[in-house]
Amino acid sequence: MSQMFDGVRIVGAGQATYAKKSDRSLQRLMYEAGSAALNSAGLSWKSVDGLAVTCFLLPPDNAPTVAEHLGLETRFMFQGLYGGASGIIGMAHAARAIRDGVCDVALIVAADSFDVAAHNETLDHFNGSIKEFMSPQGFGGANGMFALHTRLYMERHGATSEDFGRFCIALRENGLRNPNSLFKQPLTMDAYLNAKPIADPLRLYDCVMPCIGGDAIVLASEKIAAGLKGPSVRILAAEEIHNYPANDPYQVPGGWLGLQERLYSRAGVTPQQIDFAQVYDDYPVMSFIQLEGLGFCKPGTAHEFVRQHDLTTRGDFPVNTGGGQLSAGQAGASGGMIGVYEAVAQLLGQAGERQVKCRRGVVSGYGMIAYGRGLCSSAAILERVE
Amino acid sequence: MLKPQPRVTPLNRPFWDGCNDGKLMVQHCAECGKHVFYPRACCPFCQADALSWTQASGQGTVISHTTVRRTHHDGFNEEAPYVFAAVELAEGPCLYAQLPDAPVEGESLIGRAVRAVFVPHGPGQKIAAFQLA
Repeated sequence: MSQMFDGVRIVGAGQATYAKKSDRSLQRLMYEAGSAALNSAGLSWKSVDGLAVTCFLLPPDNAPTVAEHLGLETRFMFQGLYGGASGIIGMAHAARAIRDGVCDVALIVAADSFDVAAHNETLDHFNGSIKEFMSPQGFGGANGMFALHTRLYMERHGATSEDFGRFCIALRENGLRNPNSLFKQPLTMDAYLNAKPIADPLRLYDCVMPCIGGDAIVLASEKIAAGLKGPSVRILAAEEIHNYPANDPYQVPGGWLGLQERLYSRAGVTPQQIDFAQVYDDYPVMSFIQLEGLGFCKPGTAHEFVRQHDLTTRGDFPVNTGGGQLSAGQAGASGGMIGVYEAVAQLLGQAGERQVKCRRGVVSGYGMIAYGRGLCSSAAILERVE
Repeated sequence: MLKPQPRVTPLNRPFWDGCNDGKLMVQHCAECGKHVFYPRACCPFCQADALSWTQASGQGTVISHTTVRRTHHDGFNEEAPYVFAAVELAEGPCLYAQLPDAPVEGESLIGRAVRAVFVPHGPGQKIAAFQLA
């Protein structure tokens, strides 16, 4: 049922070293992540003939100038304009290009070099509606925007601060097993609830820490993949949807309910057959909405789901097994790639101390916040092939 | 420090001029009858080329709200913490604004009735805000 990506495999995954401060250039971060991903695949830079790049701070540079900088000759190119949904979308576009014979080996890479000031500066000019009708009004940045969604979710569904805390604490436990995660101390409920208020009801640990980093995966044709050692990963389905539902930021602030049916019917599997989820965790409430939109629980019940399930790598339903953005850090646009990296690393068996037993996983992305919500939602179901 | 100022364009000028005149201006679609905000080139509900500007009642309801404690721009530091809200206008569209006289701590304001007021924002420019009704 997955003809859309037949003949294509994901063969490698890698990361640049995450850091709170660093003077590495964006191209250097992409090079580090790309080298790690190619090494894990057993491929060289010379084999790369397709490139997908997502990076908020890259302009005036762009995907072609990244190819020039790194010395790559490419026949396929993609530059992600969908914020944190771009990692999955770039992967899907590149996979179709490989399927159609446009290129043979595609590097999907994201990187950014962010701190709080760069984050706010980027967001303030993100697009016209924010610039004109949210920023002058004092929206408080992404924190303010998602505080509105968090309060509404709590009031509509009866979720509590402790429910969001449970999610953040589980991710922190996962992050402690990931050497590339920036938070190195366990998070207690007491510390979560008593953290500095940022934009009520959000407190410090509901908000990601802007940081420096990069993430990458490598796609190859089945023919090339057959010559490589070890397992590979198939894309069973990958979907994107934008501005869904149109003209309604507060019914559901994301599009996964609008892509769920296609995602699972194309993949030919059910949510019960998924071993882990890597969801976009810019704020816990959006992760809740993804767990619901991706079919792991009914809309409005994710707070009950996180009470009933253990989301750690030792648990019955591991979520964001590398700690996610909430515990690893948000390297700008690489926040939309870190889940893709983690899903592939898990399925290839390269996740070290945080490795979970898995054959199939889901990864989702979310991005391009505009008039009150993110406009772009994406998701993919990936499966290990021995 | 100056707050972020609107970039007044031919498309959005009636809204910003309206703020200075004490009028809450939104677009209205003659084809489907819906009111529209933020300002658009066509109706986002029916895509008709049938928008014109009209004065809204200024009445609305709080969809959700937050108390901003860490500002996104230094121009807001002096007034933080303050209440920022998504407001559903009686005519339908959502508009973001501060609620300058709302309590920064305490009970939920979701569903509370509000009405538009216009407050100084920068040189020669007022901006819409809301008061609890």
